[in-house]
Amino acid sequence: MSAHCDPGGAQAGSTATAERPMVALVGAPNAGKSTIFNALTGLRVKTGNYPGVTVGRSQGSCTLPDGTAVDVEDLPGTYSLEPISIDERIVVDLLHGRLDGVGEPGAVVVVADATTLRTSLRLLAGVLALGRPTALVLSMHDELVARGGRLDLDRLARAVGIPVVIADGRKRSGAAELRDLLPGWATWTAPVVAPPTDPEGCTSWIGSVLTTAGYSSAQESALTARIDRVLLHPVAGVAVFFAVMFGFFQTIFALAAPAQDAIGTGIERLATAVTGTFGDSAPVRLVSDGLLGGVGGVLVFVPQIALLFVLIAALEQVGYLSRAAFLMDRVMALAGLEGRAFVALLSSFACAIPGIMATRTMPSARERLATMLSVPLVTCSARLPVYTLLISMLIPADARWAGMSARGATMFGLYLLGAVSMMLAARVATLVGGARHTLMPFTMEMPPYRLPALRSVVVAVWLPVKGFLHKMGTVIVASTIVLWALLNLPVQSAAELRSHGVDPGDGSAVAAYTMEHSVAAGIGRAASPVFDPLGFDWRTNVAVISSLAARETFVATMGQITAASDPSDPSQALEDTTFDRGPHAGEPVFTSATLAALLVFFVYALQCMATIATLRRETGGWRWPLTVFGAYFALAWAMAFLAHTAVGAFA
Amino acid sequence: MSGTTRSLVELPAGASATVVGLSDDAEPHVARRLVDLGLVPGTEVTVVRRAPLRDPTLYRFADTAMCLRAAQARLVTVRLSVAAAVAPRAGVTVA
Ligand SMILES: Nc1nc2c(ncn2[C@@H]2O[C@H](COP(=O)(O)OP(=O)(O)O)[C@@H](O)[C@H]2O)c(=O)[nH]1
Ligand SMILES: [Mg+2]
Repeated sequence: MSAHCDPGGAQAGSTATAERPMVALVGAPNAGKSTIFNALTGLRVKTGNYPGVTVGRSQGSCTLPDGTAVDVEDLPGTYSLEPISIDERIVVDLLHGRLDGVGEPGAVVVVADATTLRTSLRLLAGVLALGRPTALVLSMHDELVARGGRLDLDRLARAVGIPVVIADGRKRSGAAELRDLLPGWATWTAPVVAPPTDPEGCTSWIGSVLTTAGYSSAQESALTARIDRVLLHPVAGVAVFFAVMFGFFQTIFALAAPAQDAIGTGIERLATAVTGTFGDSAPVRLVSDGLLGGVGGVLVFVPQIALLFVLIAALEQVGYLSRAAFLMDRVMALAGLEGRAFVALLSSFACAIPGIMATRTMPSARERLATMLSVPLVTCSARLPVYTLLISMLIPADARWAGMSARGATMFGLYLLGAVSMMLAARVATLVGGARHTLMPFTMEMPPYRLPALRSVVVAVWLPVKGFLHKMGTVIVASTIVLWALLNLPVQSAAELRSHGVDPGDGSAVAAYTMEHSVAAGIGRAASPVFDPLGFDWRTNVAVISSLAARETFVATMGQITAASDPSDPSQALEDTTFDRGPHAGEPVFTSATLAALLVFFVYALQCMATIATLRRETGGWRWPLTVFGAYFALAWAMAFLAHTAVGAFA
Repeated sequence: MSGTTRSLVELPAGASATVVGLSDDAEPHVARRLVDLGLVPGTEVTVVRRAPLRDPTLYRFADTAMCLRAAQARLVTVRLSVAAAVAPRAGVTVA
């Protein structure tokens, strides 16, 4: 990787710069655009949305062999410049230079899968009609050759009248020829006459191009056909599907555990070192319990979240997600959705935001809205820390059900509950929004199985993990500090303490007294009419309220509250927590019924500002995000009440 | 049997046929998309397999494996290929 595209400096990939020309990568889904984009731009890319819509945008910059740089845009996949989804509309608008806030492209690079060139040429004809400097990049040429197909590059270039190069973004210097080609974009050859775009004219143009280029198609991949015979089989395929899903979650939990333990131990040592050095006082506890405990409690989940994204990226790139969508299409149809909604569902196991983003390829506005509004019920990675904490209190580590770890099985059950609830919510949403509805075609390409490109997986993992770390550094640190203040104010005077029989010299007694009379306690008690029926006390109320911003905050808050009463063993302190007043005074707070209610509450409540903001941007207003926030809160309360009652009756 | 036209959705798994055209019932945006995917007159289509619950169906045409729901496949008019007419279930024994 020498004469390559090192994005020059930190400002690389920032907003589209006026002086740097933009090169747009266009192509069908799975054509290899992102792989080439990653090869050109490296890791330093900027992701976000196109202005006004939640269509994922990846831009980066690329330094060319002649020292100049270009901005590169990885456009969503499209088969045609006749858009039927929001995604495809973005591509068309951008190519026409009429997308507000995004510059006009200087050059267009059409990425075509060499094994499906026939279909890609139709898209190329549409792009050429725009009259911009255009080049054709052939990906998957290795597959074409391996499967017995061939083409003559020079003759193909002559037939289409524009520069044509081969690229394999998975290889280190696989995009070298494209990079050599880019500096001269302004003077690329153009066809004398643009190819016809009417269906018949275009079909015969494609025929003559392929003949001139001596193109012979690749054989159908024998390996893919063999694997599909099993993986798409009505019985075996469905069995494998469930095995894959089960393995997916088992892997996440089993593989991440050692890394999690290591991080957890490291943070604990650090916290002990801090208290050991600076003594035990409220401000020190902000650092040791609040920041280290709170942030640490969430940092522990980075390995799991990273693994989740690795698996989703790998399943997608291998080609299994398309198979899963094929198998699940009819099941998703029960919810009024299509197979691709399953991909949104699976992405939402990582985070609802990529899940919402994944709906952008769905052509039907009604199905898209229904999917977007329902995916927040899917168990996202932010619920993991909460579930893990609550399950560890509810079920002993060595408990087994039918040979399976009872904790693992409960976790699986919660995931299942989230997914089933999502389907039901989507069904309700499609029924409500079903009055006017134009039929959109369901078409989905089934790519051959491929080994994923390591770099693409790394990019797919690094960006969300970076986002998560950023959220931790901002939202969680800020809410931890605010919460610490609320829990430690007002400061109690020595006289006040003594008058209530608390020895001002006894650190933990003072801490406990201060907290019970803090502003936060007041807020928690004020919320008790709402949460009392669920068995919560003011401490859980504070934690639940603080988690409205981001679910993970729950763990940090519980950590702060309990560490105050017993810094040496916070988890024991959590189990020993009792109601401090009211009819249940002295009874333990965290009974099985209350823990179950908390778990169920987190299954349904939409406690995530980032998701709400995404929904607002996406649906163009506050109506939908506020409606679902309210609806899911009510649902969460009702289901938690049911869980509390049911478990209370049995326990 | 060669020469009869029917809808793509009626073909059994393993059968092959040649696209004749699209039904007049197809809405313009749907028809345009099917054309853009390569379902133009003369294209060879093979029915690869149906999903476990019979919908959607996986087809091969224009060097691509593509899933269509019955609602779309119904719009494609095809003429049975000679080979398929002779042994319409050839693919089933393979699968
Ligand atoms: N064999 C082969 N596979 C490739 C090549 N380029 C990309 N891939 C793989 O094709 C799959 C789809 O590529 P991706 O860049 O995600 O496609 P996109 O949907 O157009 O962004 C990935 O698994 C890539 O690793 C290539 O030149 N040869
Ligand atoms: Mg891509």
